Amino acid sequence: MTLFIGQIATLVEAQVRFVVIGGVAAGLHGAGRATFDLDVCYDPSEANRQRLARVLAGWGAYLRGVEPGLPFTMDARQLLITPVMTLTTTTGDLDVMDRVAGVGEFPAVLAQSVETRVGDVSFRILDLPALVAAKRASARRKDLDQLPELEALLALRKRGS
Amino acid sequence: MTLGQFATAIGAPGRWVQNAFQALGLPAVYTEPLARRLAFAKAVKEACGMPLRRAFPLAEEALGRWPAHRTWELREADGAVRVEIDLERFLSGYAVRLSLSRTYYAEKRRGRPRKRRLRGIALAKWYGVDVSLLVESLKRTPEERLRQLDEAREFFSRARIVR
Repeated sequence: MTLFIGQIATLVEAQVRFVVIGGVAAGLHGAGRATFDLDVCYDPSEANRQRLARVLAGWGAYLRGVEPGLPFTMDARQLLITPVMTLTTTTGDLDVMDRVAGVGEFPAVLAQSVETRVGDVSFRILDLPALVAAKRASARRKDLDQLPELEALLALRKRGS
Repeated sequence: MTLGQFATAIGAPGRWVQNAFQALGLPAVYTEPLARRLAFAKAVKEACGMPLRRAFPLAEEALGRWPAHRTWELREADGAVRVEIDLERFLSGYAVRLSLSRTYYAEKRRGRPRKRRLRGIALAKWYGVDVSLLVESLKRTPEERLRQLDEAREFFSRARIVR
């Protein structure tokens, strides 16, 4: 398993256009909840899908939660047909999607993201208000459970500023 | 499988599944092999406008051809229309949706959300969140926060292996 920063650095190096969303973005904003997978929202343009598919294929990406050996092709066309995927890779689990519920498609996600820097790697993460909107829109119990923590972070940020 | 998981595996809304079951006279039992057949029938219906009642019986025969054959071909009797389905690509897309139905899909909370009297920090405290930990976390750099996430991920993945 690779560290989150290792996965992110590889995506940046491969010039994939993406925004980190979900638990890792929440953690980078200060949330304390552990997360096992990296969630990214990607630009669905043809060139970017190709770059992302190349990275994922290199990581031996396969579908999470299904029996091994099912027919699965990791390429740009697959990302076009099924734009949301939950994957397991040699570097760890990864969810990829081209839109975020409650925020919108990639341009909206990008517009509501902030740049962050870890070491010498710069990448974008979904901003806190958009994360709250996404968790609320998904209406899944595990997402709703994280809302009070994220809203408290928002309040602390406002108080701090 | 629940109706929601079944619908996710097919790539259709729950209402579409219910209507399809009614049209095909199927009992409301949601199984994985049935989801694959119905997903195939839906693909044929969308590709050439064939009614679901005609496409559904063809699904079993067509899917049975894989892996010996990569494609399945349907020819109209007069030979004027020929539809070719890439079975491997179809099954790959289906596998993605099946994975989503098992790992990503979760039943949404129903009904009107409860009216909240508390907000922000007060709500978090009531919910059991240790706000002092959040305050400490905000003092850290993004690098330190990401390292903490990585440590937790490694710890829990080791714990999962031990089990």
